[in-house]
Amino acid sequence: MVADLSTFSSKARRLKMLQISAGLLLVSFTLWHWAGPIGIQIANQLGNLPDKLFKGRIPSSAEFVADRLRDLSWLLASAVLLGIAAIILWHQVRIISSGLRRTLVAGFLLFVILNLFTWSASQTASFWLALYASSPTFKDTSFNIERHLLAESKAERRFAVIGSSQAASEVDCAILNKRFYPSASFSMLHFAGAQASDFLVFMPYLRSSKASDVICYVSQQSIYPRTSGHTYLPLLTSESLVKLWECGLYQEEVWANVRFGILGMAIPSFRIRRGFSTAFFGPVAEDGVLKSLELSHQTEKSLNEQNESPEVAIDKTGAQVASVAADYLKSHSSEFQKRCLRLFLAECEELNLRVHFIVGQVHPQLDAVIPVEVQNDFNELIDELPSHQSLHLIRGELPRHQSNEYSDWMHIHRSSRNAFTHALANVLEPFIGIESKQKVKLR
Amino acid sequence: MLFNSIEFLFFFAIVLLCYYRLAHKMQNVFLLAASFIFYGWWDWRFLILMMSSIFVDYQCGRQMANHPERRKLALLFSITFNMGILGFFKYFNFFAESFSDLIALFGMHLDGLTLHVILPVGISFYTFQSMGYCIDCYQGKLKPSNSLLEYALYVSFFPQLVAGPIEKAHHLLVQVQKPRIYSESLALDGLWLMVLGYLKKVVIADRCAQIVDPCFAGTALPELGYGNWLLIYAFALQIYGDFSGYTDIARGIAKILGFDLMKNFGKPYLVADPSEFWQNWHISLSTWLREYLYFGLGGNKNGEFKTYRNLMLTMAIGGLWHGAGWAYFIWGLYQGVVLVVFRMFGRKPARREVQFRHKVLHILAVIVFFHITCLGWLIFRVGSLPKGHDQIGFLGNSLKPLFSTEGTLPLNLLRVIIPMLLLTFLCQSLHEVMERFSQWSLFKRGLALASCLVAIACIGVFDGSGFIYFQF
Repeated sequence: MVADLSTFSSKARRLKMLQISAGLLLVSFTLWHWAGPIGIQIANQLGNLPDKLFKGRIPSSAEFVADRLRDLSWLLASAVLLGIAAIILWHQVRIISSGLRRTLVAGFLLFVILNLFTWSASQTASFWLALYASSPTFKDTSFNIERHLLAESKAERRFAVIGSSQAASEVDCAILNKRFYPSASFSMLHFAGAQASDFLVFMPYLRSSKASDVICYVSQQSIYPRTSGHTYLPLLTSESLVKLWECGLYQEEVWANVRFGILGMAIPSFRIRRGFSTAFFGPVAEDGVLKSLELSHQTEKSLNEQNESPEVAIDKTGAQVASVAADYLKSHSSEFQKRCLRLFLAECEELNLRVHFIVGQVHPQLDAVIPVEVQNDFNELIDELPSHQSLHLIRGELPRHQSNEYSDWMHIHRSSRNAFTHALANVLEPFIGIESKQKVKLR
Repeated sequence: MLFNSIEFLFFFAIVLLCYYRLAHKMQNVFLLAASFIFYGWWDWRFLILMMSSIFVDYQCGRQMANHPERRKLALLFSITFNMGILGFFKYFNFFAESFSDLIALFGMHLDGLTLHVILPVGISFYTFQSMGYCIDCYQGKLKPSNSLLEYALYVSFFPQLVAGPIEKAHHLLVQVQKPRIYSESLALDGLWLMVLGYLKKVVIADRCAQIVDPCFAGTALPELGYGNWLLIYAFALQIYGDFSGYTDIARGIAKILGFDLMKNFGKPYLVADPSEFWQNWHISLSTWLREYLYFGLGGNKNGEFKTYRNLMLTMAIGGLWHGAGWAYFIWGLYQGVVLVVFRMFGRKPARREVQFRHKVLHILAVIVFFHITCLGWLIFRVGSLPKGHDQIGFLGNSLKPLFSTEGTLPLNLLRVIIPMLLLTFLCQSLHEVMERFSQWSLFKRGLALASCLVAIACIGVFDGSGFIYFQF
C-alpha cells in the first residue's frame, strides 16, 4: 500500500513536471512566433528611447525589440530542454555503483549542462548586451553584440566593418546606418589590437552573420607589430585554427593564447571568461586597478608634477614615438600576417563576399619614423593585392589625417571620424546602388 | 612545479596512474622519487640541501635510539645543522646588511659583506619539520625511524613539501610506515579539497592580487585616504585564498594518495581574539612554535611577565620565520603585542553568555579584530616589497591616510572585494561542512563540483602566478 502510494506520488510529480515543462515550451514558442507584432507594440511605447540609448546604432527599434523577445524565448526553451535532459540523465547517474565514479559523472553532467546553457546564452545578443550594460568593453562583448546585430539585420545588404580599434575610431556605423538603412546595414566587428591574421578568426562569424560586404581597414599596424593573439580565447574556431596554422601560426610566440583558444572552444564558460569577468568585476578586471581608478602613486605623481618641463615633454613624445615605431618590423610575424591577409581575401572571393579594402594610415609622426623597408614592404603588399571583382581597393579616395586629428598614436577625434565616415559613405554609395538620403560633400 | 601549472597536472596524473598499482614499499619508493622530481623541478641543486638535511636528521634520530647517552649531543647537532642551513641560505644577507647598516651609524663602512645566495624553495618548512622530528625523539615522544626511505618520504612528501602543513612525525611518519588502504570516501574528499583549493587560489587570491600588486608597487599606497582599507582587505583575502588554497590542494592530493595531512586553516577572519586567530591560521606553524618554542621558553608557567616575554619572543621569531626582513620581525612583534594586550585586558565570554545581545557584540568584536589583523597584513605585505624599497617609509606613508577622515571608497574596487569577501566568508563559515564532502548528497556533491569548475573557468585568473608562501 505504502509502495503504491509512493509510486503514485512519484508518477504524479513527474506528470506535474512534464506539464510545467510543456507549458514553458509553449510560452517560449508563442513568444517566438509573436515576437514581431509584440516588438512593434513595445517599440511604439518606448518611442525613441532605444535610438537614444544606442546612439543611432539600432536601425529599427521594433526589429530590435522583437529580436530580444526571440532571445528570451530561446533562453527559456534551452533552459527547459536542458533541464529535461539533466533529469533523464540523472536517473542513469544514480544507478552507477561506485560513489567516486557517480560523483565524477554527476559533476561532469552538471558541468556540461551549465556550459551548454552558457553556450546557448552566448548565442543571443541579449546576453552580451547585459554584460556590456554591466561594464562596457570594446573587446569580446562589443564584437559579439555587433555580430548578432549583423545577423539579425533585415537590410538588403549587410556590411561588416572589421579591423582593430583603429577601424572603430575611423568609421562610425551609426552615420552609415542612418544614411543607407534599409538598403544596407553596418556593424562594427572590430577587436582592440586586431591584426590581419585576426581577419581569419573573424571569418566564421562573417559567414554565420550572412554578411554581404566587408569593409576592412588595414594599416601598417595590421601587419608589422608582433602577433598578439588576443582574439583567440573568445573567438577561435577549429576552422580558423587550421587556416592560421597553414599560414604559419606555429612560428609565432602565442602558445598561451592558442591554448586558451582551444580550451575556449571546448568549454563555453571559459570562452566567455573575459567578457564575463569584466561585467562582473568591472573595469579593474579589464584595465587593471591603477588605470581603472585613475590612480597613481603619491610620490611618483608629485615628482612627475615637479619635473615636467616643456623640453621633457617633447623628449617624452620623441621617446614614445620611437618606442611605438620599434614594434614595426619586417619579421616572420609580418610574413605570417601577410599570408593571412591574402588567404582571407581569397576566402572572401570564394564566398562572394565583396571586400572594401581601405588602405589606412598611422599617426603622421609615427609614419615618419617607421623604417623605410617596412613602408616599402607595405606598399608592395598593397600593390600586389589580387585584382578581382569582389575586391574594392580604397586608396587615396578618403581624407588623410593630420597629426592634430589624433587623440593618441592610433585613434582620431570624433570630428575627424565623422568627416571620414561621410567620405566613406560617398565611396560606398555606388556599390549600394541607391541615392543617399543626405549626400554629404567631401571636405 | 606549481600546483596551478599544466606541468603539475600532468605530473600528478602520471603519479596517480602508477601509484595504486604498486605494493606498499614500492609505493614509498615511487612517492619519494616523485617528490624529488617535484622539488628538483625548481633547481636540482636544492635537492642536495634537502637530502643532506634528511640524512643528518635521520642519523641524529638513529644516534638517539642507539646511544641514549648521546641524545643531547645528537639533538644539538640536528638543531645546529638545520639552523645553520636556514641561517645561511635565508638570513645571512639580512644579518650582514643589518650589521653593515649598524656600523654605518658609527661612520664605518663595510662593503661586499653580502653573498649571492639563492633561497631554496620551502626551506623553512622542511627544516622545521625535520627539527621537530629530532626534538620529539629527544623528548621520548617518538621512536626514531629505522628506515631512511620512510623518513625521507616523511620530510619530502611532495604535497606538503614547499608550503606545509608542517607535519609532526607521529602523524605523518606513522602513515608512511603503514600500508595505504584505498578509500573512495577519502578520494572523494581529496578531489573536493583540490577543486576548492584551486577555486580559492585562482578566483579569490589571484583576482585580489590584481588589485594588491600594482598598488604596492610605488612608494606608498595610492591616494584613497581611508579607502586604502579596501586595498588591505584585498590583501587579507588574497593571502587567505592563496595559502589556504594551497593547503587545501596539498591535503586533497595527499588524501587521494591515501594520506591525511593536518588541517591548517579554520575560520581565521571570523574570530574575535588573537589566540583564536592562531588556532585558525597556519595551525601547523603556530602549533610548532607553541610546542617547541613557547613551551621550551617556559610557556605561561612562570608568572605573567615571563608569559608576556615568551609570547613576544615566540611571535617575533615566528615573524622572522616568514622572511628575512625587518618588516616581518615587526609583524611578529605586532602579533606578540596584540596577544599580550588581549591577554591582559581581554576576557573570553562563557558560551552561555553568548546570547543575542552578546552575539551582536561578538560580531562587532569580530569586525574590530579583523581590522587589527588587517593592520598586521599591511606590515606583512610591506615585508615582501622588492629589494631597494624603503619598507619603513612605505609603512609610514601608508598608515596615516588609513586613520584620516578624508578619502573615497571607489565602486570599482568594491565590485571585486565584496564578492571575494562573501566567498571567503562562505569558505570560512562552512569549513567544517566542507571537510565532510563525501557525506553530502549526490546532487549537492555534483552541483558543488560543477559550480566550482564553472567559477574557475569563468572568473578565475590564469596568469600562472606562484603561491605567496613559497618564498618562505
